[in-house]
Amino acid sequence: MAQDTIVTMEVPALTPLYRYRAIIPHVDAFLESCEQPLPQPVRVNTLRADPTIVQESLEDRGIAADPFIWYPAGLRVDVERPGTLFEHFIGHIHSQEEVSMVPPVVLAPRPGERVLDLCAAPGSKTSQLAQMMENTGHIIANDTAKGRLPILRANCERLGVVNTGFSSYDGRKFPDTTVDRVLLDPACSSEGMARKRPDVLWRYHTNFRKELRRVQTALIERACELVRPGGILVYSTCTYAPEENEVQVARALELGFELVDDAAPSGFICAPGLTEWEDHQFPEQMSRCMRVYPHLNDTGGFFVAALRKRRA
Amino acid sequence: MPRFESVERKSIVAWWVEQFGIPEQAFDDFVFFRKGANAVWMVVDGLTESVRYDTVGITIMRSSSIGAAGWRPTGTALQALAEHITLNRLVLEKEHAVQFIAGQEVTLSDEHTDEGRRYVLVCYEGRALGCGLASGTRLIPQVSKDRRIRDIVLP
Repeated sequence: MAQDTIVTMEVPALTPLYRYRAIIPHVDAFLESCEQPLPQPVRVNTLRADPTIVQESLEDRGIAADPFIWYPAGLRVDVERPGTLFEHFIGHIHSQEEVSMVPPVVLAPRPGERVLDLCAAPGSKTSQLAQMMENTGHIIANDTAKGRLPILRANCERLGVVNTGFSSYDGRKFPDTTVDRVLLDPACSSEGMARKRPDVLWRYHTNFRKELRRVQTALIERACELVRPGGILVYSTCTYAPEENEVQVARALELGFELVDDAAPSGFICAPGLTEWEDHQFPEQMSRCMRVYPHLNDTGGFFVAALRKRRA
Repeated sequence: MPRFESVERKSIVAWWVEQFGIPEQAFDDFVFFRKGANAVWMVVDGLTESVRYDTVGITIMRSSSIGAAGWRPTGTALQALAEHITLNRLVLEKEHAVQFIAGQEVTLSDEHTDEGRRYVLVCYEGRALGCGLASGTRLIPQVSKDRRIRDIVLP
């Protein structure tokens, strides 16, 4: 740790991101954006409330609230701590980063389906899936970190999620079952969180990053087995590292999946996935992945891939 | 398989019908489980056989020395079922709602004094705030410490 501290004092804070200079469009705007504080949006819990009515109620109290262009349940609110709002207390809103609302929208679960959220804590995406499914069907919200189950459950309870069961398997060993859709949002090097936690870029050593990648591969392999033929797997991370993104998606392509075209929400700006990185060459369809950089939509950084399992 | 025992559906549903006037059909899509004797969980039917769940759905009631038949409702359940609740529903004025959300005891007007000690759904402006224990003119919020908010600004 002491060594890290010395390094951060001697070089610019964003140095670890310089390896992406060649792949990020308008890289100067990107780097500038990484130093700006992150907006704090909320998601309206449509199980209980109408986004327009929540917006009006907030504005009546002098709190500016603007719906996202791409997702009407998302609101940018001008308030320091959304968790202290009345709407939060009664489960009408949930504090959630804008970009974190993208993977559930891309997964697009329908009412009545069976969905697995393999790395679910703290439950922002799980509860978003539940509202998209209108509290019907079944969600398995799994997280290997048993200590994070209470926060996952508390969020779902406050929001009135009743179609979900909670488990704590190591996702790599999730038991045999078949589901319509899987959301896989595994632990990653979190470089896209730099606007919220600037130190995150210096936190992970090479060996730990290697271990993250190893786990991600095993998770995506297991997730591929759990999706029914014709079903959808969404793989997402909050990092820019191709080793944790395109390289992992390439494994799913080897296992009988294809990338879904035009999966990005309309109005949300994404850069295409990479077709090459260092010594890796990826299939052309890898460009269907979504790379989200902070300067494109004024959000955190993210990566999302929507994969469909081929029918045998 | 869930790490739960099934509970006898009939008695659970009957308790909610009797205490809160919820129509029986409101529970048609749900199944109930318990873990030990202390709490009952409710979840939409559709659990996966091969999965060993830690918990399911939401906790709807806990054992209680005060509540009817040895049970008290959770605030989460009252909020989730609010639209169906017709009995033991208490509407607060703004000032009292602020106190309730802060976890402070509320002194109600005299009109409530005739009623015995009971758990109620507490509402403000048509919104369900949670569970309170009403006893005469006293209303004790059953809001967990981590959920309480002081000096909340209400619509």
